[in-house]
Amino acid sequence: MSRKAVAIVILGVCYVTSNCSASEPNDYLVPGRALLFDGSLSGMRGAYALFDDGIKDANCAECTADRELRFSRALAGTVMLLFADDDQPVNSVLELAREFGVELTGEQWGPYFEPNTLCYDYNDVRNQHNIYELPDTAPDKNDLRNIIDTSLIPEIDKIIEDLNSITDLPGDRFRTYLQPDELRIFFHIDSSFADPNSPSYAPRFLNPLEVDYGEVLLLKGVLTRLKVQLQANNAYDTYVDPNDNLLEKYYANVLEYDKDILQVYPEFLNILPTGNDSNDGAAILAQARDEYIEAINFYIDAITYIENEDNPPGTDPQDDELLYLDPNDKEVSDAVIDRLTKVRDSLLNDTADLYPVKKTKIYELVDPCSTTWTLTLNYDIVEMSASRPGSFVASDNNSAPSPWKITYIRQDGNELMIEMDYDVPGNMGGAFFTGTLSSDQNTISDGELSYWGPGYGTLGGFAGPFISTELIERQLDLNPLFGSTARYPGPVNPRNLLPEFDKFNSALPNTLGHGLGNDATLGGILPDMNQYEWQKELNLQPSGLIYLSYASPWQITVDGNLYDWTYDQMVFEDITGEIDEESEDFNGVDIKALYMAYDWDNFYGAIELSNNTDINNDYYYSLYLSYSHENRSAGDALKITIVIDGGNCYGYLYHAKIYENGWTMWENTGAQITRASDGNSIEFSIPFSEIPSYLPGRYITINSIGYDNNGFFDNGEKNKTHLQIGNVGTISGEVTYDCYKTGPIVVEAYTDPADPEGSLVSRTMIEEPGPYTLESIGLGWYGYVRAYTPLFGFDNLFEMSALEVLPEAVLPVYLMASTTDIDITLEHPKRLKKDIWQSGEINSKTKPVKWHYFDAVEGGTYTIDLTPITASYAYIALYDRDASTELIEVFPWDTQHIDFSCLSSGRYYVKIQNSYYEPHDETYQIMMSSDLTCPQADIACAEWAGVKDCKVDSHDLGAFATHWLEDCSASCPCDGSDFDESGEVNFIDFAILADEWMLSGI
Amino acid sequence: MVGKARFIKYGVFLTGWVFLFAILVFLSTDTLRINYSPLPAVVFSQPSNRIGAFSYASYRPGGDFEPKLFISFDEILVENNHLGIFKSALHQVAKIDDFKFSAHHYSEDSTETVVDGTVDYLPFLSNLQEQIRAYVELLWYELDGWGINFDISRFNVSELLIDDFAYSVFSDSNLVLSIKCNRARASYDSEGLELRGHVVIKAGDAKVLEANRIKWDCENKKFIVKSVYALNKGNVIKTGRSIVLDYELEQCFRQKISNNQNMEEDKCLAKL
Repeated sequence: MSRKAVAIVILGVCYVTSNCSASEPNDYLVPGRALLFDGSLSGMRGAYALFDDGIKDANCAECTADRELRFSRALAGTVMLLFADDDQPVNSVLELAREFGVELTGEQWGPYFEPNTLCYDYNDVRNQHNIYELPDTAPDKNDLRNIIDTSLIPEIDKIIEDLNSITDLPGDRFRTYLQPDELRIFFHIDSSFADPNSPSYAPRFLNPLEVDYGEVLLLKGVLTRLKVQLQANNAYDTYVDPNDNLLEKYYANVLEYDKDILQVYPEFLNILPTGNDSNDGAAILAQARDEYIEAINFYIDAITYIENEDNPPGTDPQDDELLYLDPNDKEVSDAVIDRLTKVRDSLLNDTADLYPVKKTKIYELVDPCSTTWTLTLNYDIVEMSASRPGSFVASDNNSAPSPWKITYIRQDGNELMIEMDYDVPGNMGGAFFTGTLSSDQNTISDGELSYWGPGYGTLGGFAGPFISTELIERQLDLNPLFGSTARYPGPVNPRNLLPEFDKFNSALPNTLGHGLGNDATLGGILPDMNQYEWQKELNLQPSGLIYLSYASPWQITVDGNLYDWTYDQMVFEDITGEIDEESEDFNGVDIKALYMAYDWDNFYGAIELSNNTDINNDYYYSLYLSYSHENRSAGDALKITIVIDGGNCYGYLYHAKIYENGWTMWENTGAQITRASDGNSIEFSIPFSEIPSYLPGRYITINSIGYDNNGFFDNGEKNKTHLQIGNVGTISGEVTYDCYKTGPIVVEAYTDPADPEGSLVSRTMIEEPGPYTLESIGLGWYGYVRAYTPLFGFDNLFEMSALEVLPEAVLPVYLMASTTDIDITLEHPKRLKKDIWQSGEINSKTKPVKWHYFDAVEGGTYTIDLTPITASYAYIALYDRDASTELIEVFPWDTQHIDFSCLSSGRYYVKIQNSYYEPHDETYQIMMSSDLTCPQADIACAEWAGVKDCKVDSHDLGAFATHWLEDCSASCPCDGSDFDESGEVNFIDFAILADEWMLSGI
Repeated sequence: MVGKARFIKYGVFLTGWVFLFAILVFLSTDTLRINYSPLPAVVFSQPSNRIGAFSYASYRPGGDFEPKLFISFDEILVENNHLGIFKSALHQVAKIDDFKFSAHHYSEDSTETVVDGTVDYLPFLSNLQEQIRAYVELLWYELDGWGINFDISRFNVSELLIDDFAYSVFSDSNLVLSIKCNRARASYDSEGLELRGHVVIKAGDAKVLEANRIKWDCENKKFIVKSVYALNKGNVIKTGRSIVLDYELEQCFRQKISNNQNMEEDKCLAKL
């Protein structure tokens, strides 16, 4: 045999055996990883398939147990939870989105390819307003449940199984490395250095990135936690009737939790089974409990593993790892492990445990002027700056202003930086402190305080030691939530944990755990809580209608003593001790009770404090009486302020006056207020003749603020109650709307025409045009009434942000007794006809916004011109077909002209409003022009009625037919079918259509 | 003979350094000056993640040494960034210490962009993240020529933290805007620049704004103050909590787009 023949045989044998012999993991890993990090969706899917093939490859003995292959499949499988796209039942977010008509477009997911990365697209489910519309075939709640249970959770289980198969032993660590050419995909091409086509291209990573068993454990924890979350949601009854108009009520802001949900659905938020669902909620939660413990164990193991990777030091340097723990952050990681361990042990042992809520560190610093400063730093459970981070208080004010409230703490290495402010109306200021912490954090040196506001300066040389630390802990027991323990065999119903709500959905005091007989521990979840603590923590306030008590002649003497008040004249009783704990020794600001009464001439009030005022301090007590329950400074509100300054007592009555320029400002009425204070009580009286408006219908807020003798804010409390002074009436009338299609209409009463939302007094919702009644409005109230409804109605949830159809003009009302016949007419946007000037009126007070529309055709060019006749401050903006997206805005100081090239046919909207507040009827003219002239009978295109295509054909005839013999109004001409605007779609209109049949525009 | 050869060898080496320095000094079409103070440690081998004090200045052509651009910093340090309680080598943070920037515009050099009838004096801040990165890359690129071999592109910087930030823009030697603060933060995951810790902003007409927390909305050229502030104008001090100001420290009022919607936008309009 010649050498040539031998070579051919050998090559042939090699070729054959290479195909038949066993593969090895790298045969799958190398191409799979190349695909996984090529930045495309198809690459990721291909990678998953390759890894999967590898593990199932019967010819690859090593593959099944190969850790890297298993990890790669788990990683790709996790990604597949988002992006899988196969012929199987829905098993990814992408496929689930498709069920809702939303498609993912594009192929590249990596930031490297930005801006050409993935986008979502829902063109096929957009309606004529270019707004998403839920397809009829979209899954309902049960379908979703089924997809989660039968597809997503099994997929998660498969991934966890892969991760479980990965072992890690001291002599055989699991480690894999992500290479620089793989990781580049996570970064933008934002400089020539990152551009492979550039001569200066340089790979971003010098070293591969290590991924090890720590990441395996973390991924297991995350996936197990996700599984618990998906399962546990199925344990509760969440049924609401889809035909119930809860969405409409939510939109209108009139949804009442108690009245509309909890009372209507008595099983809502109960553990299953209920009459609505036969699943076993307790069993689901029992399983969730076990998996929750498992997830916590994974987290703890992951942190512990990662923490010990480089032990002994130098064996595994960490700074090339995907995730690692910096030894400087050990305090934080220890705190996390401690909390996780406690939660786990509490669940395992069926016990409650103490959890740190807040940690306080106190330092005592001395400045160069020998003034001692107390620095109190508050940290949360993971040693981060707490929500109320502390204070910085000087023993005297010889060197710099004090005290300061800390707003933010930052520690960078051994550098401490603290932001502070004091927040006194008219006397606000800020400060910034920097200092150096010793390595053991026991001293601060080189401190410097810079401050600004009423005083300016910089003071250096602060230094001092750590003094003490305090840990606030609270008991927590999650066992009642999951059940299946000896103490809690059955899980608690979340419904029973809720408080009682008032009509504004605020929790009422003393009602937490209402379903458990007002059990403040919430069925044992928070064993050491009581109703006082809840009220203090959440500042819960009472609600309801109260009637002022008539004071007998000479009953009340304004002398500072409360002995002459009766119990029924106490309108508000507050808990004591709820003021800021950091300044508990500041007396005279903790409000105990508020009394109110009247006689024929005067309004009387009294404030009882839990302790005496201090003659060295200044105090401000403010009683707000506002028609708005949300904004206590809204137009027409009253504020009675009693000031105690150095033992002297002063009184002022302010009125939130609405000025003609649109501003609302507090104005001192100069009323003669009789007032007196005596230790822990304050009394006052005001002649009714000096009060600028009536009291009924107003909501009560009582606040206190105390200042020390340096004028700095020190402490106080706010009680924004929902108590409303009685003697209220109603306003009723009828709403009409020519273009009404679907959905409820919102009707509102308010006091400030420049800010209806911010001065809301009463609101109601009616199902359709017709009668309405606004309730709980005080007799003597003066304000405005308006109505609105979203332009496209309520058929489509996603159209709620469209412009709101407003009345022709809002109506002023003076309510001396319940008032009827306040009728409101909603004004649909007016159509702009080509080359025809239209006139309109605008008034910041009563007609604040005017809307017009025009129908544009793709390819056409349109211009809008506004001529202010007397409306000098009017300016225009063009809105898209969704009636909410602003396309073009013309600045008020520019010529009011818009050029618009239409890219998509449809209806576009023009908004006109004032740039300056102009409370008078001012006139304008507006005109639309175009290079296109479409036939009059063009009222539809192939896809939608109401969208022009500039030709008259069967689509227009179809749309026309739907309005045949329909009565139309001038403002709403039957979607344009009433061509002659006669008020009816009839033969004359048909003749016009016939005349233009198959005619196209020019 | 050996001594002479060694002398020639070192002579050539030193001449090369001088030549390289000269190239850098005259690198730009304008006169470019790069000053090291002190001279950074020169590392010939592996890349470093740190560079010491550095300054850069350019001047208008013409020899009058009228400043155009000045940048300096004490140190730049690139290190792994945090990801929750962990750190990760995937993303890094560039920490710049004592960063000073000033730019001078001259009406004679009429190349500035005109926006809404006013000269856009703030080209640098309009896209600060990218600009800082570009300048830093430029500096490192230049330094690479010195053999320092520090190339930011080899790092994965997703966040910039600047301690002791000072920025100023002048027009014909008149101050347009200056900003000083303890820390400035720019991140690729959020727009704008977060200014923290005794932020002092001065406008050309002697208005001074001081606060602890201000967001510079680069796109809309607005300062959004999110803490107690003091605005000093001619010794009249206005204090309050939360305000939106334009770059001339004029207040922007919040207007509702539609009466009933919660959508709001800022318009720097006067209100009667």
